[in-house]
Amino acid sequence: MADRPNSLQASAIVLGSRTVPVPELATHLAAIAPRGLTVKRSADIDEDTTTLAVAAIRRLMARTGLPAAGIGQLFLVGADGEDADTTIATALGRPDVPVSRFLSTPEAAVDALLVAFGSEPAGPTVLVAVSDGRDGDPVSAGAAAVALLIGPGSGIRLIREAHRRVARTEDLGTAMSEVVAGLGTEVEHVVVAERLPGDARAFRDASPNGAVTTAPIDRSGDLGVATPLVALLAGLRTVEEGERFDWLVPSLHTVIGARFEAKSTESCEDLDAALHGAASATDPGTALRVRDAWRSHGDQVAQGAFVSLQQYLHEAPARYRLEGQRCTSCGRILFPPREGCPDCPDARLVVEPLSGRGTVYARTTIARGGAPTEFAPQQEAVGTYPVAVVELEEGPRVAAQLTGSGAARLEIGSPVLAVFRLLYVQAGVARYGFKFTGAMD
Amino acid sequence: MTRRRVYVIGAGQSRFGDRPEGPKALFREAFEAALGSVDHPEDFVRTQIEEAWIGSLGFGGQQLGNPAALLMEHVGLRGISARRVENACASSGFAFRDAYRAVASGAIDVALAGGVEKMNDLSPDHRRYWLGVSGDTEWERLAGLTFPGVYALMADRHMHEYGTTKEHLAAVAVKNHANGALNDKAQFQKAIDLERALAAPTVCDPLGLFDCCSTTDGASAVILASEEVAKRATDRPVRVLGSGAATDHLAIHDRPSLTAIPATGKAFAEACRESERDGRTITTDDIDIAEVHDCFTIAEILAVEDLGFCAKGKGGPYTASGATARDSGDGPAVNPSGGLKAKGHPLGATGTGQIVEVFQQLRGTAGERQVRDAEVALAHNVGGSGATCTVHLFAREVA
Repeated sequence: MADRPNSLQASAIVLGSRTVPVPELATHLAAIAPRGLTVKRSADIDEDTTTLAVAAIRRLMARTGLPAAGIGQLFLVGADGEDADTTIATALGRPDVPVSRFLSTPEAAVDALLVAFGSEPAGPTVLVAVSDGRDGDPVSAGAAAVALLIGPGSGIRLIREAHRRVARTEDLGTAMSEVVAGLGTEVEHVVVAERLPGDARAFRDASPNGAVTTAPIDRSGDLGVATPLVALLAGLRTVEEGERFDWLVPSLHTVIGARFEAKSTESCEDLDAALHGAASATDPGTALRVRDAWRSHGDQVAQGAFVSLQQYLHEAPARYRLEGQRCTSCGRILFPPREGCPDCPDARLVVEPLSGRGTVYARTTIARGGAPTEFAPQQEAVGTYPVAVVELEEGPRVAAQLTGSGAARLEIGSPVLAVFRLLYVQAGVARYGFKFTGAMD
Repeated sequence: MTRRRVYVIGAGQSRFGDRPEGPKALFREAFEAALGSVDHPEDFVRTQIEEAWIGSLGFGGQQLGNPAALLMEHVGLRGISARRVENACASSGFAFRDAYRAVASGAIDVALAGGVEKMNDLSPDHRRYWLGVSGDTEWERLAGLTFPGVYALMADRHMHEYGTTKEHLAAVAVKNHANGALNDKAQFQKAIDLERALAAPTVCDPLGLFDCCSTTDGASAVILASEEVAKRATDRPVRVLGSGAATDHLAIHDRPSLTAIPATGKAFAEACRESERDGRTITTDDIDIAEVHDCFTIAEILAVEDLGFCAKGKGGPYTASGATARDSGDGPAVNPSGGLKAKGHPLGATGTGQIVEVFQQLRGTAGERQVRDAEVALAHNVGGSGATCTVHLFAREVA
């Protein structure tokens, strides 16, 4: 098989911003905890597959300097919210970008990757695989988003791929070693994207030569559809530049394998870096309330003092990525968007993108009874929440919630950064917008 | 254009609180109290009222459309021109202003201004929803804020800029509850001490339960008349010296400062200018009584600063010093009625409810809470967190 035109050039990983103690959660659910796994990441009340996908893509863009205009196409795996494609594209400032949505399965994540290596759009492909773990068993499924940049030029090359169906009676280890054999001459390194503890051992038993790296599920837990790609990035870390390695993704019905040739992995972020990020520790009860928070609000009917969905989406550039305005007469920067400059009512206003950086100007914590109805599910799940008036570095101020593990410590003067989050769910529709996290988090 | 002198000849309110009656009954109670306060009923009949302005937010959405017509038919005024006036919590402050201007202009001789709100018959969910309809619904509310949160942000900033403390905030609540304890129309007629105020659960940090006004059912009504009518109807006329009103940015984050409500100063200045044109100069030193909009304790601190009773930033220590207590001798009596804090805050009924207190105080009929020798009084009514505001000045006049 000929080399594909593209290579993997960079990656970014974002994890859910809460940690859940796995053994305690298992006890809570009368379930059996995976051995050795003490904590796992889960999505916060204001995170879902859409926000995690946006966070991972923005991180990838920040790491590589890739401008939104430079994205050729978007592949989404696991971002299964209604209109997630539109929301994500809009949040990135590229409502016109071609988006392909894949099934929300680990196998689909592999398919998407292989397709991206052979695809030739106008610009590079950004592939994101995301799991918020919210609908799954909280013991096994964790929250993570992996964003990959795949395009022409030098990077990690895909040499060959192979796959095979596995009958129920077959031994998985044997099937995996056959797939590896199908990839050509044996190579030294094999990475197994474990979905269940023991998958890698099954392969090692059947094929004892070579160094086998397992996906780091022993440290992160199963990350759902993101697991195969997290494993791939972990495998990359184990090989030298120029070396080849095999990537194996076993599942109940298939084994997929692919051979890669490593290049410098500097631009590839893997799980270890992400695991060092800040997170809020959550007790099992809160974890389950967060999981269920929005479920009963699918059919809650809006009562009236709300911004209609039509209007909301019309304002998406401001709400999703803080697109402000500049007065062409006095130069004043305005946000939230206005119908006219307060000082020059007749002057024309032009679009002005804002950095999202600012400082806390005033803050409070909303206790029970102090929240508008649409934020009641959030309070029921996580109790109080902090709200601030933030002074943006471009001048304007805006009211927004504070989020993230350091939110409770933010005070007047603290530097903050805008993040894209789920605000609330009303009449079955998720409303997204910005909140602020501590800039040091 | 010459402006005619305008007098309040009658004013009354329903008992404020958790009331089982509907808006019609509450308004009738207020209207009858107003009518009953007119000195010479033989020289004044209700049918002299030519037009009415009724403040109401329409909390709960009950009879949101056309409530003024309905209320008129239940107080024997069916047929007259009437309308609902809506400017959130300042609704009846603006209703009064419009009624005042109609009489001042000579268009009519007698006007009715009033307000009504029914807030306590809703589910907690429904109530939370309605408490958030008067802020900026497009951005502020989507940050998860309602008014306790917005005023908490103002308090946080005031503490940061001026060193205001929770004790300063609590001093407002203690004073107003002490006044409310003497008001048989008040929702809360019990004094509280500083310790109790400070120990209350937090609503929105730094504001605790006693820093926030309650939800209240109630109504109020004020009868305004030209000089000619007033002379016949009353021996103790209360003159409206001036009316001021202003608007500002709706959203808290759009204001240059979080520690002032500029609409207050603007409205007060306009009211003073109006009085000045009529030959009577009024400064803050002349004010004996100020009914100010203390929906939260921080709001009274901002009000005493923005009205100039004390220097900017000193509202906390100024209040804690006792200067604004009744008969302190050090400053005006602020909220002798108990204020929104203790008397209650039935949104649309609050503005004219404040004028009921001013009317009684200036006529010496305030009973146990009577402020000595009160001659000039002010009513300050704020909508939302300062997007709308009215200030009215009144004076006792010897007939």
